[in-house]
Amino acid sequence: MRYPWWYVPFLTSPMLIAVVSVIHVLLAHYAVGGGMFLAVEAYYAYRRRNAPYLEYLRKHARFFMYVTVVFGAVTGVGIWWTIGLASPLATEVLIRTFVFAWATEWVTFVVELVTVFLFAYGFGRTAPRWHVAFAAAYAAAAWLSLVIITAITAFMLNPGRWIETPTFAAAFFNPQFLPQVISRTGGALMLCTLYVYLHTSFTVNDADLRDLVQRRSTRPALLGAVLICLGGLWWYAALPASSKAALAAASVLNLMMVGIFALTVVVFFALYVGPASHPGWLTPGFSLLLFLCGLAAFSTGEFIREAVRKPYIVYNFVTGNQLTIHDTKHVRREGVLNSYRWLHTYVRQHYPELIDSNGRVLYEKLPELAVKDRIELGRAIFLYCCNNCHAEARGYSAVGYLIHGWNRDMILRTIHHLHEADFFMPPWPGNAAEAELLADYLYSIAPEKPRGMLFGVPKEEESNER
Amino acid sequence: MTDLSAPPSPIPLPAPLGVLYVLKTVGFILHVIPMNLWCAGVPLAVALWVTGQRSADAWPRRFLAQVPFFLAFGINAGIVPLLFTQVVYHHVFYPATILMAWFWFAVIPLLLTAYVASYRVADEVRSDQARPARLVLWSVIAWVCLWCIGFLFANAFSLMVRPDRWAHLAEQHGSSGAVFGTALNTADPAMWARWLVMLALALTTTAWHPIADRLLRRQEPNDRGELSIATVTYLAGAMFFAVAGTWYAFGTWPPAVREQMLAIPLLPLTVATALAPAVPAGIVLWMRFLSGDARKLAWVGIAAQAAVVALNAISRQVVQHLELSAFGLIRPRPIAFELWPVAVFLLAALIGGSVVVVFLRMAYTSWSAAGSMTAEGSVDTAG
Repeated sequence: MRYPWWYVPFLTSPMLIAVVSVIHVLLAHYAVGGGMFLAVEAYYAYRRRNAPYLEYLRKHARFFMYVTVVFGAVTGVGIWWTIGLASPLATEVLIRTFVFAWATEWVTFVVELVTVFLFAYGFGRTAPRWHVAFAAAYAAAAWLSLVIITAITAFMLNPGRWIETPTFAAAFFNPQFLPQVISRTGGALMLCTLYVYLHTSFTVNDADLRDLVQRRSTRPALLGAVLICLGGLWWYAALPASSKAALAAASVLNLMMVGIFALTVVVFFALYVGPASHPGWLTPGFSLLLFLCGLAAFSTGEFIREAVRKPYIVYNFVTGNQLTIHDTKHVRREGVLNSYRWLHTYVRQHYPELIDSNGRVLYEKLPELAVKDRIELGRAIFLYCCNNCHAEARGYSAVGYLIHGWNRDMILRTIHHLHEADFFMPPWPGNAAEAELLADYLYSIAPEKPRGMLFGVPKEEESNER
Repeated sequence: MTDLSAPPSPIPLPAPLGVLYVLKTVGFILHVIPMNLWCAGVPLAVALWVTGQRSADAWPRRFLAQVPFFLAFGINAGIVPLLFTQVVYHHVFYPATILMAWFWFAVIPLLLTAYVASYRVADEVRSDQARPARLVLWSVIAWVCLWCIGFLFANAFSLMVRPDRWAHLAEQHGSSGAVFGTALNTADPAMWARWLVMLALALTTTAWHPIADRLLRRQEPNDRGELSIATVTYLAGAMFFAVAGTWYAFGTWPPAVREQMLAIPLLPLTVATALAPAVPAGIVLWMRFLSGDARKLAWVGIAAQAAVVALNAISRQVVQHLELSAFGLIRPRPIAFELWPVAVFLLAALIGGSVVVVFLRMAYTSWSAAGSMTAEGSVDTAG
């Protein structure tokens, strides 16, 4: 760990990334799909000289602008903020690898901003040809930004040959790039339809106009559902073996995966038999239900994308406990308390008796420490090595929940064989003496086995083991 | 002092350091201009609006209607310097921001609140029946949030160059070696001085907005009322800048930095940065006494103010570099430069920039013909 660790009780700091990301993803995909929708529909409305539909598009453009420029843009910056705080090493790796991709994406943001303002405020005072051009330029820029950012998120899941050949091209055109671009484009189209439904059902009273919007806006979702399924299948095929194994091993992920496909198919048929072929279906309740289905499917997809990367943040390069593969070898040799600068400073300040004249930790003195000090140092090691994914006794994926009733030896053995016991765990980065400290701490917070369970083994034997 | 900065990155620099510094500085200049406008412009415009300048054509109303645009472009342009800061100074930027993580994270909700508030203000001033109490309330919310964000940025970037304070802050705001993210760099006078310099500079930039706004509407820039706003604001900002800047340079710079900034070859840059505001100040005063067409002079004044902002941005980058050098934190690093990603970026910038210019020109022409730039017409399918 090269940086100080930000301790967020109960939740763990990386979970803040998940919170901000899910919100952003639900807005950002609408920013892409909505741009395409507005461009196509503005062209249609001008061509048909349909003033009421244009008036609707004007209102929708304003809503779209508020949602995407304010909340979409700021939560996008928010992800960047949060990853720098909770996952600084991976952020450093991504930024250095993709800095000019991000710079290019910034150019697309500028175009998006200018064109969305021009389009939203340009109704009634811009020639139709130019007005449609504003929307088309916005749609193109927004889709390009999706392509660029997808390359980066796809890279994290499977950087492909970049590990051996660390070039920009290898990083950008990684095995997950195209599948994710296809599925995200589909997702953007589908989510756009759901936003349009929601907006229309609450704001349009004219039944004819509502039916027109419904008919026109259903098509992107049908195409989107097909792209999501195609991209999703390709995504699965391009997953590293460990991710497939993680999916297969975790029943909750299995269920979620099936849930996404099932939800997509449900939404597809709901759209097909509903708004696509039956005018008048668009009620606030129906659109809200579909919208919530869409949000659930999207959020689940993002959760799975994150979960199957374990034990890595950047596959085969940065592990979940914020070490590079190269760092891990070094840290195991030198010890966590010697290698982690912030942790070392803490030991020097609080336990100067453990530091020799060269500033190195005297590991042979650790057993002499009082129990409470061993537990305290064990906690420090836990925060730097485990808190990336696990809260303490209680909280998100708390380690306490995983060691109900474990004795100290079981804990210690598991620490030593972490990645061998579970392939989605990173290897234990510390040395034997540090493993003992961590075992002391974990044993101190391990809850008892839940009461009332019968195993056919005499209670005395169980309590003796404990 | 223990070196708590991060060890060398596992990934080489993607371009020579000089290129990255230039991009970082250019991005910072682009960011500072809208940031200056929203920081000083919102309180100024609201104060003037409250004291009676409420007509549709008056500067406060026009300015407040434009604040959401400044926010959008300011945030957008802010991405560039932050991106390149993380490339070149990751080893000090992340530790500093992690120490104050909750405050740094708070920038996001603050920004969202400021954004929403600025839209409410813009909607309020655009409506025919603006409600003063609501307008003031939303303006104050936006203003407080934006100043808080400025304060937090001043904290982060001053803490970034003070690694000697990190261990102490981690000890005070941490547990078991991890940090709570609740530290601030308020004990460092440089933080306060920088924040004040930024606010002073913001006043001087905002002073040119009433004039630029008239020029863009093809009006004579030397309208007495708006020129008075510009003159008073500029002179107040320039004096404030002189006081805060003096404190910043002579009261807070580490001796090694001051020594270098006041010696050749950096002395001309320091002197130019300190004295530059005198040029736009002179121009705005000259405009007051000019009876004829002042458009060209006004454009020169705006360009001079852009130069003031640019000089400040450049000096700031140089000082930051020297501050980190003083701690031995500027180290030679391997470079793995690939030309084509840079070429793609530059090409995208060229194409994107051209599209933006063409579209803005088009909109400016047709919207000016259709009426005001901020008012909206009714939907019409003809054309």
